[in-house]
Amino acid sequence: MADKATNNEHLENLLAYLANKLPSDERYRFERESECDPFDYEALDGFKQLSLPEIQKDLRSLKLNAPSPLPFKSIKMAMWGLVGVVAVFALVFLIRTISNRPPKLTDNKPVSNTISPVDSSLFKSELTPEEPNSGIQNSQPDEATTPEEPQQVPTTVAGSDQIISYRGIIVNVETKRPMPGVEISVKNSSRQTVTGYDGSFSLDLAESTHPVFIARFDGMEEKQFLLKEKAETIYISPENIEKPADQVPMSVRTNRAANPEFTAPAPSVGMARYEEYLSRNQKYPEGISNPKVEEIHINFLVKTTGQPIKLQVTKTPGQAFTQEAIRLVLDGPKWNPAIVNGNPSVGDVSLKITFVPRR
Amino acid sequence: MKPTVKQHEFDRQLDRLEIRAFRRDGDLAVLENLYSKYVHLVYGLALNYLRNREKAKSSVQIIFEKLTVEAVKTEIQNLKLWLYITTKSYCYTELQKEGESDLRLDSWEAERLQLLEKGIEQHPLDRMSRLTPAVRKCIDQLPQNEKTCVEWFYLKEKPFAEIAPFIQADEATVKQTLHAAKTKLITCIELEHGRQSDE
Repeated sequence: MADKATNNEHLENLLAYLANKLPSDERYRFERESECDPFDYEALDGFKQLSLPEIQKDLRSLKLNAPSPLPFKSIKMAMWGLVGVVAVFALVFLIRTISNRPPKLTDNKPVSNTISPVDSSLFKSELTPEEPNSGIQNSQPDEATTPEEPQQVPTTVAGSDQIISYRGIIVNVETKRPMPGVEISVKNSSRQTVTGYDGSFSLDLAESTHPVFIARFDGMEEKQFLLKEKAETIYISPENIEKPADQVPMSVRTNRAANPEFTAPAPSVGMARYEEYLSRNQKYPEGISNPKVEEIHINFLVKTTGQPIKLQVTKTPGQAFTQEAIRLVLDGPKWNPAIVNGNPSVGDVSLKITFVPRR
Repeated sequence: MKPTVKQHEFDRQLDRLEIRAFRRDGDLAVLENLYSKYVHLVYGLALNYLRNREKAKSSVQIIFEKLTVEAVKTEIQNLKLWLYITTKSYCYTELQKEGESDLRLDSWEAERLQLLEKGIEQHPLDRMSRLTPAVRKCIDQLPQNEKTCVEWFYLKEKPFAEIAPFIQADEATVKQTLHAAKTKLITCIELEHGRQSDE
């Protein structure tokens, strides 16, 4: 059940199937799904010619992420692999930035002429009621950034080139509401991120690169902006002028429609089975003096890969429940991401988990 | 129990996005990562027809090379289907080169053209959520063994291994029998449905 997706769920299932490790109903489901696609069932016939160790050996020699003797045990390995890859990318990025642009120690403030906060007073009254008079340049030190994100302490690396945690909040200029799921990328760099459901994002970058950020969201105008180290509000506005086709910047924008079609994220196994999973796999925290039915509310984002991220518990009876709820969601079945205009995109989910004490 | 068609559609879209990302940035790592999702299928398919581990392994490399060329030339819309067609075609020419033959590949050229035109058409049994009387009638006309396989697989939802004892055979035979039955059923179901719409 909790076969947490490494990057190749089908392969894991296949190996478990060949090793006779699947229970009858899952075995059937695997066979039934294979029946729908000749690629699947003909490949399966091919594997039947070999023994399991032979298959594992061959798949490994193809430099695949083939789980070793026991399927489902490779999650940790995959995680370490991921960490390694991320580390390598970070290193390459660092080296590139250092070699391309020598650090300029004197200039530590990028010119912020592209930021044009529209109607900032309105926005502030909504997000930072405590500081109604603060100007946009020095406002929102902490309260408007993501509560679940630890503050990034700027660190010094490689010849006093500062790595700065650039933070910002993307707000829709029309609705004055923070916008989740906005793709934030850095000009001339492969770095990118996506805003959280409170519209915030943060990116750690070398200060000497003077990063220019680009915010993209389906149906909104692309916006380029600079950031200081403090969190700033960036307003983006809905698109109204038809852009020439050659400027349409890839994927998410191609099927742009006036009213975006939106499908909310949903568990890949269906809501009913997901709820069954939640109730069956939950461990009621031990040592609770008066065990009773408890409810916990949890919000999170579903990445386009189906991975839940940025989990945030909004209502909880206690720390133990919070931890268990987070474990359940992270270990649980994959989600299907939101579909906007036919393209997968990041979407947010609010989930209520009911804990029932075991007797 | 119904296979999730939506999930497949979703996978296809993810693949399309990745292919676009590759075409935009030219980053081979993106393509490699994408290919790794299907590489075991490519390997299994090649193994099925070439019946040789080393040849199957090298075809995995060759198909990837073909993919890098093709992905630059055209925007591949359905990567899984593309890999299926390309791998099978490759096996077909390899076997021809060596003067060998595989009965299963005899009709491949025709199949390939059909796949290119229409994509994978699911068998009525895989497509239907419940069996219509017309399909029922067709199943009843099958020979006993084939009827058993179809009924136990599609109605009682049992895996091959559990059906095997009923026809006194092994799993592979169950699968073959099922496929033989499904092929027969296509014609029968088309006829029956045609008759119904005539009336």
